[in-house]
Amino acid sequence: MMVRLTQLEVVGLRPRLDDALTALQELRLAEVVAIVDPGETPPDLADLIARADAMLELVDQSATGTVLSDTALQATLDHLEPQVAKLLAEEEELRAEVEALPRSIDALDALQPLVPELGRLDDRQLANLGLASMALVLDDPDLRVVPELTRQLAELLGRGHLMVTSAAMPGSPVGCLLVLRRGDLPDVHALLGTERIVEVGVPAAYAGKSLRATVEAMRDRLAALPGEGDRVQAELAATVNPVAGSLQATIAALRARAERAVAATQADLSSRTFVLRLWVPAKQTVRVEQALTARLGQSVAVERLDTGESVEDQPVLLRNRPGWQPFQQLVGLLSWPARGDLDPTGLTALVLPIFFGVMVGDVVYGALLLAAAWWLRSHWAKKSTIGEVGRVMMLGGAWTVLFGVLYGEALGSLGHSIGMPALWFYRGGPTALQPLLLFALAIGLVHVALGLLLGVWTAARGHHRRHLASKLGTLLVLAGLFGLAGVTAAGFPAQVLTPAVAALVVGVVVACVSQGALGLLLGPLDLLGALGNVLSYLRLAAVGLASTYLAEVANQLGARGPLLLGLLVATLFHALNLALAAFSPTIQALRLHYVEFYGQFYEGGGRLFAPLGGSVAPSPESEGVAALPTPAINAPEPVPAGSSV
Amino acid sequence: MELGLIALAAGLAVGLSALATGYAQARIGAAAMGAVAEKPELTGRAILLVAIPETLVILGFAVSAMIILLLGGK
Repeated sequence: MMVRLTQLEVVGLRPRLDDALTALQELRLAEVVAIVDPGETPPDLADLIARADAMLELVDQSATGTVLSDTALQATLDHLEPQVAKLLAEEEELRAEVEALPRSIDALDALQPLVPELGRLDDRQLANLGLASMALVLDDPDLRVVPELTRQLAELLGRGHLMVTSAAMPGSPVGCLLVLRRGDLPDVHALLGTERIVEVGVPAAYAGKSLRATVEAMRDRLAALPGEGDRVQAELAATVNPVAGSLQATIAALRARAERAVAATQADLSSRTFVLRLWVPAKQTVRVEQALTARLGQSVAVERLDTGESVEDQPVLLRNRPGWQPFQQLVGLLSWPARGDLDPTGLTALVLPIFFGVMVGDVVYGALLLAAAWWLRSHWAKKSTIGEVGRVMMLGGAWTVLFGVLYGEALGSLGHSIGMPALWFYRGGPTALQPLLLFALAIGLVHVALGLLLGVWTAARGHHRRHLASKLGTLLVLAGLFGLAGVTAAGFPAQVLTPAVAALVVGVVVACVSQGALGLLLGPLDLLGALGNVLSYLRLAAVGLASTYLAEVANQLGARGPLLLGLLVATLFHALNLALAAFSPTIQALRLHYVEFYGQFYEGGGRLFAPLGGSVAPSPESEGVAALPTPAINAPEPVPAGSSV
Repeated sequence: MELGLIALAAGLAVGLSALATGYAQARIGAAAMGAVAEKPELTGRAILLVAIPETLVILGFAVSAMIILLLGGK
């Protein structure tokens, strides 16, 4: 349902502008209209918010505390930021080490069995022998680096070196131990640099150790890393958590201030006065007036403006039952209703789950969906996205059970085969196709006709004569076609024939005339479109049949082979069918609403009512709360008034 | 033999229209996802646009059902 909005003009003394905005912000019932182009959040305020936000991501979000002044916040951030940056850098280094060490350990460990004696010698012992060693971890994804390096070293050093590599596997690093004469070290370093070999050196902390000692030290380090990570986390928490509550409260106050600062730029200002224009729910104007008068006393005057329905950029405020909220979001997913549109939330909430049930129609699937919905709603907050999904699933599941009883389906044909009666008709039967198609078409006819009736009402309310004629003509044509089909196929009495033909002819003429000069061309196209819309509801039958036959396939496969294997196969197929059933019918039902139903009466393109303070907490009006809200903003600081006009 | 031809015709009616729908949805879907990446508020319109060609396969299904009902029952 759309709530009627009224425009108020508030005139007051300029120094009290921030008081007025604070009162409105606490009330969360008024949207400020931009009399002049709105400005942006002051840069210093935006900078403080961004810095505090970054700090807030690291802390306990549930902490509470007092609001800090700007100076205190600045000092707190200046004090915290270097410490936090150092700890974060340390954490990042530890993370990199956790990723790199296993690779180095694997590569070097593979060398140990190849050179057990060399592996025990450290750099000092090798130096006494006039030798030096280089332990390398080479990235050699296409297995070309190691042969090339071997060839180049042979050319450079002749036989005066020893190179041992671990087994090269595509994609994994290669461990490489190079023992050479000490005097050849600079030439080898130069070679590695010239050939631009991708070298993953052993970390400096392990330099000088023997191969075995290096691997052992790396293992010890890897084992110690989780503890290091915990220590850094604890230090981070100890640094920031003491001020978490204050940061939380201060950032809320800063955001409120920033919102007021932007709102202040939308006011018309003279050197002494301000003029604010507000959109307010019509029934709440008195409360807004009272709140302003209570805050500003006699220094404010509030006047109601007679804007009617024709004001451009008028926001829309939707107020629906709490259970319809997820469906309201689905309407918004397409486009919010514009002023003059009907809010289709209620009809969507009513019909969409029915369509879902018509398509899935299975007692067991419905019960499973209900159980899943109950689980979602009991494990997540009811107003969270997942909680709302659970609510939609619950409605869909209930209708699925109901249509399952009508179709006599439980796990597809299983219910039918164990004697479960179909209260209406069984969809898997040889004679089911015709009634199923007729049922889908009947639903389509009723739904499209309802959409057209709403279109007629909307057009009449908005005095759009052409739209009105077009919708009426289409309605008449559909009624005429329904009558003709009834007489020819469903045994309607012959007396229906004349009015049906008359409705058809009159409808075609009205629809063509409503299109103006191109009526003869566009009119029939429009009518064909409406007919296509009705036929589109055949998807209710098509998707339903697909679900039924997939369940039948699951049962047939399950009946073959050993019992346990059959049960496993059947369970897998039914799980797949249920997953498809939860997804595809929702999309199809949504499409039928968006294209076939809304297309008859819904324009969209509206903008939601965004009251001052609404970003802090939802507007009480949109939630249907009658009581005055508690102030959400702590100790707001005054906003400097902008330049005069 | 005649029953087989009827089944083949019904299958072709659905299958060919499904191919056409798939082709159209692939083109529209790619463009729609590009649009949604830039403007997430267009998600609803994207679903709508992607869903539009499905009418083709639904009409194919209707033709297939008519083939089975009108010819298969004889």
